Amino acid sequence: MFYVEILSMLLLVLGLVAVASNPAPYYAALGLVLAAAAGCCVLVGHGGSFLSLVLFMIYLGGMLVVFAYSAALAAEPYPESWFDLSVFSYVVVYILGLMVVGLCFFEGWYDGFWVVDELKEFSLLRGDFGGVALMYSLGGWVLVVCGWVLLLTLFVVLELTRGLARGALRAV
Amino acid sequence: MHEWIILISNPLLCIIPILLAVAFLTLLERKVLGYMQLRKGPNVVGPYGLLQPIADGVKLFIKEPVRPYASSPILFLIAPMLALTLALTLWMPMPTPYPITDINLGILFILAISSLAVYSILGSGWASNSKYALIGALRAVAQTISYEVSLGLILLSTIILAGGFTLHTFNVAQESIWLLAPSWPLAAMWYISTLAETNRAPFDLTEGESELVSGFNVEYAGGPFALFFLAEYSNILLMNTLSAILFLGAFHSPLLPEITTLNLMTKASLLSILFLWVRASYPRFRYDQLMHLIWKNFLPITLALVLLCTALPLALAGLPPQT
Repeated sequence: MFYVEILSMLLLVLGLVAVASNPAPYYAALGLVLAAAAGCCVLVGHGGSFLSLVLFMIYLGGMLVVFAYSAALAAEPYPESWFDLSVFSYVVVYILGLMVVGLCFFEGWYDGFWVVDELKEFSLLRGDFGGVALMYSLGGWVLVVCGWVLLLTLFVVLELTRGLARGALRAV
Repeated sequence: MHEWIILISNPLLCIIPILLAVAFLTLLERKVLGYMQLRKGPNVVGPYGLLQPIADGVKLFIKEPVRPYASSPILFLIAPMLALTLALTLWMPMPTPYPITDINLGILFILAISSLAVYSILGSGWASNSKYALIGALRAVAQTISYEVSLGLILLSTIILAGGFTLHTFNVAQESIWLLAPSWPLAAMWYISTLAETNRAPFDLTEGESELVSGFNVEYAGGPFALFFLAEYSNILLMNTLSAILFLGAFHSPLLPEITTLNLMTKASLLSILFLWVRASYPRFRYDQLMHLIWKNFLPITLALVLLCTALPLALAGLPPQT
């Protein structure tokens, strides 16, 4: 299990490197999916299975729309993959930078083993399930603010894409 | 050494029966369609054409896998592998009645993996670098994620009724009455949504032969195409097994688990035969009708039913035991 954890952390970092390095939107979206999957594996390893599955579902659904959109709009017939020199040099530079940062912070970042599910021992309630209930009870007002922000975003998007001539975004 | 054998043999004992079932499902489909159209279907290879799927498989895997010059080679080969891998992974938490991996969030796991499966369709359509494949893939993706919304909401109401995300809970909850009886509108919408989710007729717009030359997998031939084909039919069987678990729960006695398996899979195969019957009987939907059905009919009804399924047990003090 510990090796799976380490592997998924590695994949998380590599997925983010893939996102950062590739100029083609399609491959970048693919890298983001990899990063999301690996991040959810890390969460599962630390005991947050409910949280990670819900995140994975919602994130994948949202990403899929972006993915389909970029696949439909990306015009290049032969996009650069990671094996082209221009992209690969970026990958090498990013990984080297990561190694330097890793060496700087090698000591002491992994002291406490973070656990999502704190009610592990003799509890009827699972921590991440209880967290959902807490979100509605103690975090009620924050939730209201978040809903308000989402509504505002909806109006912003509507306003941006409204009409052919008046909106800020124009297709032609 | 012992653990290694278990690690290999357990998944194999799950995978091999699935692949066999898929093979015979294709034979059954051709036979049923044949007799419904007053012809015989495959009847040359083996007795009653029983060896036809094996002959088909051998033919497909012997054929040269075409690799189009314009395609993106690695993704082009990864996509079908991803499709079959996910389709087989989906079977792991299935309680028939003892699953391979006993996950307590089984339903969420199935939803997450099946939404991941859409990526293989889009990946294959894009990697082929052909306009037909890309448009077919986009249509498939739009259809699949639209129907996933209603599938998720229907699942949510059944989860509230049964009282947990674990698939075992559904067996226990349905010991006195099938969920089909109190929530038949949900069941009907679920069945139609699974038809659309697995891209079956009358919702097989992604593969509409006359207009899209078989959609996202035009450029595939031989082995990779066979992988897609297996994944698709395995998904059909999986969806029907899931419908049987959700709405037609099988009675589980720990002394005779075989009876549960027999019970469950009989119901699943009856539902699959209904899939074939639907394919033989109904004409294909138009694309706008398909989207109309989900966004303007199913979505409002399922939203209302989620509210009802939340409110009614609360109001009548009939909440299921929370585990």
